[in-house]
Amino acid sequence: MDYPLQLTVNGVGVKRIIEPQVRLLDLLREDLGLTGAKEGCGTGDCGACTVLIDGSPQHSCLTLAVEAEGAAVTTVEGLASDEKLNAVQSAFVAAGATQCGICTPGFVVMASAYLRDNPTPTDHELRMGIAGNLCRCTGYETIVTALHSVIDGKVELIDVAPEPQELAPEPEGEL
Amino acid sequence: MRRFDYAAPTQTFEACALLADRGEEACALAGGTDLIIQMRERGRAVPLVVSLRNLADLKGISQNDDGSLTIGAMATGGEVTDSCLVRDHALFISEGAELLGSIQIRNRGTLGGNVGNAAPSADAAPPLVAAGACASIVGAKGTREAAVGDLMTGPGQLALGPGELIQSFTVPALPAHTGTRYVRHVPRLEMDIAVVGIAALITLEDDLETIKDASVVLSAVAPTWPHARTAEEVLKGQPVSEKLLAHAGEAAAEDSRPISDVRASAGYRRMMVDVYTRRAAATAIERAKAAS
Repeated sequence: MDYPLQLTVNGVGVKRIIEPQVRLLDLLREDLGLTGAKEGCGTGDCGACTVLIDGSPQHSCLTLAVEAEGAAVTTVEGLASDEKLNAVQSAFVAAGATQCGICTPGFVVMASAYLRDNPTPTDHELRMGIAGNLCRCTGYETIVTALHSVIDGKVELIDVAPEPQELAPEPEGEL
Repeated sequence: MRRFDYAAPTQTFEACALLADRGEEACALAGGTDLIIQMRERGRAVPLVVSLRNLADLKGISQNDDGSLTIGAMATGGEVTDSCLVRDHALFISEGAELLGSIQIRNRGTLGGNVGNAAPSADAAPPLVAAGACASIVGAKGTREAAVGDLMTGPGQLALGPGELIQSFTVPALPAHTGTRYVRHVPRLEMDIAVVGIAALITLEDDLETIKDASVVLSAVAPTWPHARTAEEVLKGQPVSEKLLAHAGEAAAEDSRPISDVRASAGYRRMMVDVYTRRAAATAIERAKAAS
């Protein structure tokens, strides 16, 4: 049986008829093409799939899409304004707080929400705030450094690229 | 994940009827932080998932006229952690909830789910047991009350009939000069499962030197969340001293029934019950004095 679903994703209304076993992560990545949220572990341990559901950071891999009925979902793609990256994104760029990059969207979404709610955490509080996100490259120090620069108000917001890259055309035939 | 049917009723009686009707084939979905994993990773087949997300009477945290506190089963770990009502009423309930997974998990996982999942290593449930909380259970035949301590009958096993749901937990008003503490032993600070968890509630006499009442509940060292009855008896009526806490720790270790598994051996767990019972009781006593 399929279920009607209505929600907003990054401010855009989405209406679908979906099967209940579709996770929010599947809807975002496979249906809406928002591949920022990643599937790391699929069991709520790594935080790579973190999105905001009505502003609250949650695992999109543990959330059935039907459970997000009526919700406002924000993914990493929705954090920047039209002109500027947000402070956490800008700080990650400035500090080079990324290695392979798989964990980055989850960290950025989680840290953006955490610092919104706790603008002046101690170092320990900050580290506990992102403790639900794993970096398999163990690149935590630059991540924490980047977030401290946000806390200290030392981040210059970076312009969003003026011309969005065009997507490659769909490959033809079966993959 | 296997295909399943899904319902998100807006009335609790509807949810109960659906669950009763489909029996073993149906399962209630609260936050999903356990159920979705069981269905995806462990191949658990649930032909009908009944979501509790639209049930208003399972939500919220409120103080009652008699001084007791009612916490909806769908209150999330984050809500319980951050609630001033909960913190002021019985701090260890908030402390247990704060140990559930990560922030992301606490924003989905619920107090009812932590009890309902019936894991011996639950962190949020033992403080409810220690505080003498009652669960309000709703079913096709109406509502009944059950002590949270009587709900769990074994790992993954709850004394709930078909179609019954936990609606809320009511924590009685705690007496004057009472302090609480939940503490657990884990190799990592976050995202880990308790090797040993201890919920302690201590009430002092007016002299603030003698223990009037004590409740010590164990996590991860027995098939359920039992009281450490011998340790409680050791503490009751005695003047506070290092020696008394040491005796209580030893007694709690004797009361525990740990197993050896990937996280720790039974012997190590028993030693940690001793250590953490002392620490939990000491902090609960400090808090009882500070609150007086």
